[in-house]
Amino acid sequence: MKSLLPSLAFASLARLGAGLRRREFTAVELTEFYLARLQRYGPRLNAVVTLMPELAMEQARRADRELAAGHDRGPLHGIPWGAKDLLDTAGIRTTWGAPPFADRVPPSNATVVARLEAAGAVLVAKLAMIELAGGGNYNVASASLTGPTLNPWNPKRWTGGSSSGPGAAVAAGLVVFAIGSETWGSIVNPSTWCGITGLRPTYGRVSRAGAMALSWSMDKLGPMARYAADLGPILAAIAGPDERDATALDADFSLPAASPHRLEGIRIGYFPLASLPAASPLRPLYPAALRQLRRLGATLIPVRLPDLPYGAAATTILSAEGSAAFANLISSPELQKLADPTQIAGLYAGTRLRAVDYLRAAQLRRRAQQAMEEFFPRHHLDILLHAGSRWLPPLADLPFDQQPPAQPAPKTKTPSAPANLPDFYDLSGAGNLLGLPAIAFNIGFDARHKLPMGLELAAPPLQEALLLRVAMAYQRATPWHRQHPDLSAI
Amino acid sequence: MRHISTTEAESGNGEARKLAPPLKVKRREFSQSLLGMLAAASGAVVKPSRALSGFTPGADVKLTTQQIKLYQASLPPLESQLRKIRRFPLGYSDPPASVFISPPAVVLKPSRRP
Repeated sequence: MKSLLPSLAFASLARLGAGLRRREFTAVELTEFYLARLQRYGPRLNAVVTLMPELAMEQARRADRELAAGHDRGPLHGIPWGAKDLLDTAGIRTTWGAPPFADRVPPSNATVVARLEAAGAVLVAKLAMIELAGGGNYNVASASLTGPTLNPWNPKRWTGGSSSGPGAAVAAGLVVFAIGSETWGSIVNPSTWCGITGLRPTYGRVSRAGAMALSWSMDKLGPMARYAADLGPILAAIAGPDERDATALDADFSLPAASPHRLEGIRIGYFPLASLPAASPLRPLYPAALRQLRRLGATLIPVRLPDLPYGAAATTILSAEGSAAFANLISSPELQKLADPTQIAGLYAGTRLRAVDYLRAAQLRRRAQQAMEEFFPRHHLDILLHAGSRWLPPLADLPFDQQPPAQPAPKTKTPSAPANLPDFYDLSGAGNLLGLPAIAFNIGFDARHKLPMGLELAAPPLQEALLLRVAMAYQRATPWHRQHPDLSAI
Repeated sequence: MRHISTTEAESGNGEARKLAPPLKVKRREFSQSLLGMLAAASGAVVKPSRALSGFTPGADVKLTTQQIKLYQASLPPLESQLRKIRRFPLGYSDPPASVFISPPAVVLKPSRRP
């Protein structure tokens, strides 16, 4: 086996693609390289459910044969990737991260898996996740078939969830990219806490056929990678209509050939610093990130969302749809196999919701759609910006409700928000309720714990290219996304 | 670990009833509130058909004592969210989002520039 430079583990899609085409290394060598890293670090981080060396090597050999024959499938050709273990893989177990489904083997590939295979990508691993994507709520990082996924930046900390394995594996350089899912926060949150770049596409942008259903009206699949520039080609490969998923939009995605380095003309609505609690470790980094965006030419406007109960509506819809999706499990003795009793109780509680409340939440969702439809043009906004997460990732060995309190913040003249986010600053609740696309990326590190902190940017539907443009411009001007964790301590 | 069936716990039998004193809860509240379920689990005497509204007939889900406590604890936060929804002033002309006909985001258009 050829020894590749360790730095290649954190290389961009463009760098790896160029190396493959220059015959600097082959797809087989690249795949062996990442498989070795997955074998070494995957178990230590609890990031992997199933390693797939046979399939991966078969796909890599095919990629090499095709490249040698002049058949180039594009930027993902020969690139190793990992799938959150809720994407079906034909003949290979797909566990949904949950002990009751530990031996589930689907007969066919999810559409996303099939499309990435068609794009020449090499599937090396099924990656860890919170059981059932956390649909019934959870209170421990170990609410997973594979235990708590540990944060490569500090293995005492959790990665965030529910796309925990994708977060850890991308941050640790065990795969080039991963596909995660988000119903409410599951791409943005681990991307932020693992210091990577994650894209939550518009609801319907990516087919969910063959993906575990948690909430039919809120689930989205999206790419997670180290660089914003890597996300566009991945989205282009997986987006588009699908006869297996009636909600998949007939809207292909393509990136402009060149992305400008400057952001003149782009108007970003941001929540003021006062939207962050006094003890939030993001507070020292937030103003600098805003200044950087201004330096790049963007116009920043302080805003607050229309005051609607986004979170309450999203909670109601998610609880009802989640408990309906798992009704068979809930009425089965298998329910007891779930790792977290909070999940069991939460799934059960969702069965008690009344149809009237679910429909009222759907009425509110419509009202919120109308409000947001007026909101963007009224403020002439292209994008909304807020915290990817306001807090550090929890300690992995303590329940979430027993974590030590955040360090008191130094006294400041700037007002701060209460720990409970007001509705008008709830970008995550609004974005997921309305199916808006979002991108999360690293804007620096908490000074005390050296843990990454990040922003979430959201846009009107189908505006992923704009989000990518802003994130790419930010990353060209800053060093944060190029830093990677020191794995020697793991 | 002792298992109590949820039907048993919610209808006021079993361990939950032994641990908690009966509550006096008006029947009307049960049809309106998840807290009714909590009250039922605490031993309130109600007609099961009212208290178990929405429960799968015949299902006998086994929950442990700990899980029942977690279930009970999960209800007030959920109830708090429901209160926000129920109190929000919606009108007769507010249709629900047709999420299964068109994706919820599609009605939103890209922002118009000045």
